[in-house]
Amino acid sequence: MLAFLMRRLGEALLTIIGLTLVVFLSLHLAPGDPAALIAGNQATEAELAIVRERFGLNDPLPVQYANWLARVARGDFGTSHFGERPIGPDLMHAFPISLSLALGGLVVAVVIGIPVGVIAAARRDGPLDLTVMGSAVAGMSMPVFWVALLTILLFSVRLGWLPSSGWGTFAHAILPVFSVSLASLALLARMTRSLMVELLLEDFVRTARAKGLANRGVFYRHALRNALPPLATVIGLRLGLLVGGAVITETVFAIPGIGRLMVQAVNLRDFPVVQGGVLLIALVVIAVNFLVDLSYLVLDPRVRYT
Amino acid sequence: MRPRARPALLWLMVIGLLILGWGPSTGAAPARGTKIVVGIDTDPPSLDGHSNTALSSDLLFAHLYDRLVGFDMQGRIVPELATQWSVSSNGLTWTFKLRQGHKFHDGTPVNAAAVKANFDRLFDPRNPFSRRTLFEMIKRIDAIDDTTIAFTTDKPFGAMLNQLANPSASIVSPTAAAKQDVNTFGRYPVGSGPFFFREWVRGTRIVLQKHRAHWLAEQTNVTEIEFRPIPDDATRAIGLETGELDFVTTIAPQEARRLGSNPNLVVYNLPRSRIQGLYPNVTKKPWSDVRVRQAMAHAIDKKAIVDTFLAGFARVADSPLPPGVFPYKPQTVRFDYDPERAKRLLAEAGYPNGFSATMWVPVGTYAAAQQISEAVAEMLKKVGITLKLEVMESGQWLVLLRSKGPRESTLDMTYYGWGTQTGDADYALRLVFHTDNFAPACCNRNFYSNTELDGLIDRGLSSTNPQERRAAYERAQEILWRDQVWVWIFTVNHSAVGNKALTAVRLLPTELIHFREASVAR
Amino acid sequence: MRWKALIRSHSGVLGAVIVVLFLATAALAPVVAPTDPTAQNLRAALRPPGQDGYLLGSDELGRDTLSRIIYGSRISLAIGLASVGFGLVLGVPLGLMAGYQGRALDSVTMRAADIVIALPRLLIGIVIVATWGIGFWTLVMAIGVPDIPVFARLVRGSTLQVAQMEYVTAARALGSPDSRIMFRHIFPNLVGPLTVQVTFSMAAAILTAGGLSFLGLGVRPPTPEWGYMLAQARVYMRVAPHLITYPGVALAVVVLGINLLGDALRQAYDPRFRGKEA
Repeated sequence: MLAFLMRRLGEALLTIIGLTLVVFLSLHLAPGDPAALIAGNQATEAELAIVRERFGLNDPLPVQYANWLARVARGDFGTSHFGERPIGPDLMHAFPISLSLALGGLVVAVVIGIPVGVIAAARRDGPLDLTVMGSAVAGMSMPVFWVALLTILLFSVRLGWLPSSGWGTFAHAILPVFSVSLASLALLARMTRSLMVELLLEDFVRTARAKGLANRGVFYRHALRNALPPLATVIGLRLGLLVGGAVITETVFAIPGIGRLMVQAVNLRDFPVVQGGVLLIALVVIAVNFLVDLSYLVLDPRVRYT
Repeated sequence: MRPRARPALLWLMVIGLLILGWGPSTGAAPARGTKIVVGIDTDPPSLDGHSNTALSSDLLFAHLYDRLVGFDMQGRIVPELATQWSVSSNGLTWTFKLRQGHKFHDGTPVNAAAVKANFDRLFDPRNPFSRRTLFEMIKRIDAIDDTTIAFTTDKPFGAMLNQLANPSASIVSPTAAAKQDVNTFGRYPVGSGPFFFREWVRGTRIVLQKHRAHWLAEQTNVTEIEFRPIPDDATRAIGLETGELDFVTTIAPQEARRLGSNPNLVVYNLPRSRIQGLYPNVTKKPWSDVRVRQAMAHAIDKKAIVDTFLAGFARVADSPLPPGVFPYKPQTVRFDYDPERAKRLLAEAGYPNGFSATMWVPVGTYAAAQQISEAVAEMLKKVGITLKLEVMESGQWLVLLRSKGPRESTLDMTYYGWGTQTGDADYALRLVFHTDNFAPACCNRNFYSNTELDGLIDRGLSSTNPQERRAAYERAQEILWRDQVWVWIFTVNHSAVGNKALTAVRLLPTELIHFREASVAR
Repeated sequence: MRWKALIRSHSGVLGAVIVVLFLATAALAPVVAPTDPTAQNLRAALRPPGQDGYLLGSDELGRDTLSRIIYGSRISLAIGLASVGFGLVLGVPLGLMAGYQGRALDSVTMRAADIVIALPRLLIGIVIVATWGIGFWTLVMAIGVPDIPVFARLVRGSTLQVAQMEYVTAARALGSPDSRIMFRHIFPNLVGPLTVQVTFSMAAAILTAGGLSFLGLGVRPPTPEWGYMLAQARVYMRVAPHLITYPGVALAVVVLGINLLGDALRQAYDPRFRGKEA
């Protein structure tokens, strides 16, 4: 048990180190002078010299990497070259907003997607199942920004029920969270259904049935329980897509989250903001994947002490 | 067995609903009281009343601060902090009598010493205030007594009052400004205006609250203003319709026209001294040849652009000055749409087969900039000029435009505009066309230099005689127009929309919109 | 079971039909499109569908929406092919080597793949565009990079399986060079799973391209890219909703078609797949 935990933790840490390396190097892999990227492409040579000095760009790369890591660990993400202000507070303000958007999307996907999949499996190959699965494939194929625009068109413009922009109240969250969740919801429904269908044909369920358990009890107790671990993996994998969806959705709904911050920063070539944003998001994704691994311990009776 | 199975699903549902239901204030919109919510297009860069002005900052300055004098909706000078003023017979000394007993939001009295401290701060070379060029003719400032202050210039200066009414001449609390460094003051501003600063969440909202000790406090029932940056036009329009927003300072003309049919909304289509056009770097080939610029002016169907993108809110430009700026004069030389003539001019200039160029297009700064630029590119293509459009975020664009002198500037051409915030030709011409104002000093960013024009602008600046000034500026307009220093396309009006219940909103010809006197009808 | 068989085959056929139509549209764009997709007519801007000869209406510059959508298929196809190709060219050899050689190379490659796979596709795209600037090839790279580890992992997995089979060990014992074994014996076994993955990657690539263009990080005007068209149409959402509707429908239908085809292919190659979705 402990060994398993330690190994997973070690892997997560290794991934984080690799990740910081990638994020750090991306600035140095970029064509041109990293100082120019930090200072903006219109800085004078004198300004560049100051930037090199201030950010220690004259040091050897490993030293720079260590220093940068130390600063980031202290929550110092550097200074935006546009407006000369520290970006830590901006990121920290925007981050929880994006996180709640992505997690909200995840919750909706799980809460609706899994039951829908279960119901579809129970009515396997019937008209309901086919309708649900057809809609699921369609839902997976719709770009999140288009879904967002359509929901605005319908619920804000035509019906006037919900606000079309901003963040802060429950009403503001409905359309963006739905847009973010749609693709994952569809995928989870599909996954749940196919897993359930498959598991129902397996031996242990047949055995249970033979032992005299009624149809529904078998269905939920055994099949769903066995479907949970692979579903947890998928949920972990989906988080990356949810975060990606959140980035776009924030732009559509004018939500002041980290995605909008980063997109603006790309337009400004404000590299420290992009770096900080990627790092924060990636850390969360890694953390969630770690939690998913841990959840196996609870969900899957077969994974123990390995 | 059935009952045992159901709870599993039910539990999932219940937990889901609980998680969903958890969150801040649900349901119905809160009672607004006399709070108004104003949709603006971008977050201002700074709230420091002396900082370089963006329209979004000016809007905030108008509420946080007072100036010595202001404008009314006809562009006339009206009292703000100064109640009376006079100019000496030699035209060199302006004396202002200040309002008695007025205080900044931090309690500091607004007196002559405070006003003097403001200009000292503005002029301090260590501070990054590029708009100080507006006031460089002021050579001495004397606090004569507690409520009397005198400004002395070295030459008579015709546009003195217009200049002091500019948002950059906002009077900030000298105590608060001294306590903070120049960067943080822009984040936590203290002034004496009818509203004081409460909160700024970047990209989300700026909240101001009523300053009850202000002389305008009695006139208005608005107790709180929230400014909400919303970059997207359609989203702002929807905000008005759903009642989330009480006012939107700028909106696409198509949207404004459509919103006009809503009985709860009022469309404000009022003169605004803004001119738009193409802005070529005249030190670079091929723009250095005046015939090329004239050819472009003939190649662009300006009327089609106005009709398509700005119907009802703009007119084709016929002078470098917009109507409403003293002393606007429509030009007799015309650059009508004539592609054949454009081709001839290009051939004369040595470009019979045209050429290629890059045009910067800032996003979110000017109405329909991208669409207009695409239309322009298509029109220019017909005479052989291939424009590559480089769409960029307005922050990056401004930095590229502002920070480099004639040698280093990377400008080829950009879509561009200028609003005359003083209603006077000095601001419209000196800052933009005088050789002394080459970027990065100020705003001559396409590096046009003409000694005759410089002389005329200087003469207009150093005279207080309106006839003499008019003559100088009329000649200046002819020169600029003939040279097509920009390829001017149209002048544009305010296109703002507000809730009908909101009254006494001021939309000035100087571009500024303010709610200093606004009230909400119950 | 009859229901199932019917719908299975139908959806696969539907997907194939959509994909073929998409490819044909892209190939024949100049023939099919009623007008030049960049030709403007300011006097006929924002026309609703069906009016003035605009079958799907016109945009704010009086350009024909239908023609722009038709030409847009070329852009989506080009970006999709180029970026998936980019992922294949780098991912397949990497996976082959990792799977065949094993040991240090294998673990380093797979750790690196974990890191890239942990990051949201769109985020990788944003970082790449931020460093290299906006442009077609940056876009291709921004979309293709996340595919590298996907292909590498897939190839590695299959290689590991195949490499242990008798005929491969036999070939190795007979002294065939490694490269020959890889391409003669191992690679043919990868074609099936790779084809399936390529289809799904195409769908993801087209979606990501639309997303990046929507954010203003993709193509430049006046390129008729679907995501970019949607971004431009936002301002006119109220007065011309058709500008939001049709490019989005095009994008969704094409992605749907590719996904359906991918599902059918997967079942064809691996009849007993365990719900491992893209």
